[in-house]
Amino acid sequence: MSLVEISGLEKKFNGVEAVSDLDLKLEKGDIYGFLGPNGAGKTTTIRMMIGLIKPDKGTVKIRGVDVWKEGLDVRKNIGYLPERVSFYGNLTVHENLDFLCKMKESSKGCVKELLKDFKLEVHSDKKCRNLSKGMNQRLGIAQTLIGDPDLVILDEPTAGLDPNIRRWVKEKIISLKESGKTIFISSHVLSEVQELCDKVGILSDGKMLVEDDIETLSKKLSLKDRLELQLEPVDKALDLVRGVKYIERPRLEDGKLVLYCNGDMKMEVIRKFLDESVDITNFSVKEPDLEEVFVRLTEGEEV
Amino acid sequence: MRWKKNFKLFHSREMWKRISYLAKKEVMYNFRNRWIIFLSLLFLGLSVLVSFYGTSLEAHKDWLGLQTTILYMTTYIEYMVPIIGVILGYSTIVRERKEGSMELLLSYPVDRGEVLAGKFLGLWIVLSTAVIIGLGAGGVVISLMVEEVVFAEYYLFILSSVILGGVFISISMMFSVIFEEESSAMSASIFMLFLFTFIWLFSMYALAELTFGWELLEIGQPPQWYFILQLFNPVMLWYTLLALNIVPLRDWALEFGGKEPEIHPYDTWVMLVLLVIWIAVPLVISEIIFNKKDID
Ligand SMILES: Nc1ncnc2c1ncn2[C@@H]1O[C@H](COP(=O)(O)OP(=O)(O)OP(=O)(O)O)[C@@H](O)[C@H]1O
Ligand SMILES: [Mg+2]
Repeated sequence: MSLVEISGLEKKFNGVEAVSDLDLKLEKGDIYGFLGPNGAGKTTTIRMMIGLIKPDKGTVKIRGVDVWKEGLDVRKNIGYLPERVSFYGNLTVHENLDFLCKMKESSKGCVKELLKDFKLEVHSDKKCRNLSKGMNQRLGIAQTLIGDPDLVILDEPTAGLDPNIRRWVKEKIISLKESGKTIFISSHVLSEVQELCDKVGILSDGKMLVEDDIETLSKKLSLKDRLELQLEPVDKALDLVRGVKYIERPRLEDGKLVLYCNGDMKMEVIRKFLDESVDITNFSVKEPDLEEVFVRLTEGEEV
Repeated sequence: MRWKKNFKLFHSREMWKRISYLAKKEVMYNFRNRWIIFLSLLFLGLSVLVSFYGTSLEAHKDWLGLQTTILYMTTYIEYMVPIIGVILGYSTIVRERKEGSMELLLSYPVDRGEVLAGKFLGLWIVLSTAVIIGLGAGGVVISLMVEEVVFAEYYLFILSSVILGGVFISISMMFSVIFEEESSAMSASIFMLFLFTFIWLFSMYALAELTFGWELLEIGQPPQWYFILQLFNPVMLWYTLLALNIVPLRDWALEFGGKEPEIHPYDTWVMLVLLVIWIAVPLVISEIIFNKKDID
């Protein structure tokens, strides 16, 4: 029996499908990256996994129990970070954690431990409504560990955080991984989950596009790097790269030239511009992103 | 199936523990709410003022002589307690859903019915505290000014007001469960408040005028169905309960038999049970609706 078993899951909002006919399995110890662009239906799926919203069709079973029908016991062993986690603004950090620990029948020292682990001690007497976003998120992740659950579900844990806290969050997730927990992370940024997850599922328009372990996926799709260049004159540069075989999807974004190419062709691109005396004022190389995955996937369909 | 589950839970200590944590959280939350503190203080001030003013004016300084004082008190409690109940209840669910704390809470091992029960208890404790302190202070003033106070009657006065408050918390909490917007829940609750305090009274008068005529009402002899109809209004139930039991009020009501409160041909227990039903029914409806809702 899989730890989580989603079958034939469907949810409509006002007649529009948010999730349709979704199947997904999560085995114990999996670190699963749940990817998809904005509005793909990730949050909706996760809410059905927790028993917060009622599926129109299909079921979510955790340890064989239907979550919507009998979620109470199942939830004793789940930690959940909502997309926009929110606490009782009127109560302090300490009071909020104390309340949540009690709801999960956690031990007396639970609050202290969490405050220490997450370096929230100094903020312990602050009202939650006065927390900064990063602090709030940190508290949000802290509360997922109450009761030491086996399954932790994180809905976009790093969205909207500054790089420092983002790194800290990632490290925290890695330490969870090492402690043997099953982790389910949603994100719309491929690179975000790439380093953390061993398995990914990509959702688009409520449907699972592809599901695989991350290495097979990048190999199979032979993902390309994304180059962003600041050039002068930019229009001439765009004309130059159009129609070049090894360059894909060249276009202008915010005055920058964006294109995709194989990792080993990057220097070729740069050389091309220099040869034609186009001035490069700045450039950056990004690892393959979701757009790239989608393009590869749809390409495959055409073949 | 559902009843079986609820029955099983009924015996579970875990459930009562969770409900008590939820209630405690609710009490803490609301004691930090400026509005509630302001209203409680207003309540306290009014009680002291009315009881002091009333007892100073009253010629006969005994319990029977306290007619005007007690009448004043019932009049402002009739508005004050429902208002506090509504303010506590109308936003309690819908706001937490909007803010997102409900999503977090319901991801914990807790039943939605327990959340409602805990909330109701917590809010009721807050309201009861305000009522007991307010009316208690009034009682102290009265017992200082008046020689023989019938405390049993005064306790019933406090107890019935606490129950009346529970009714208004329960109903406005139901609106808080039903509606998706705080403003809708507020409108519905305020309408309900007006309905039971003003509109009802005038509609009943109009109904009397249109059917059996004003005269029968004035001598306190309207037909039976008129009394029964009154039982559908919790404020009327409360008023009747008081009029049946608090001697100065009863005397007053008998004197002006034509005006409300009419003395019903039912006894105290019926009134109490009906008031408790007024608490229970909205709670059960809330539970059924809340269990079906998507929380996002
Ligand atoms: N309560 C709701 N009422 C109506 N539509 C909704 C509701 N919740 C979600 N939707 C719609 O369902 C679709 C899927 O939304 P969902 O939040 O699951 O996407 P997501 O993948 O989490 O996106 P994001 O990356 O932006 O968080 C969207 O089109 C959204 O507008
Ligand atoms: Mg989302």
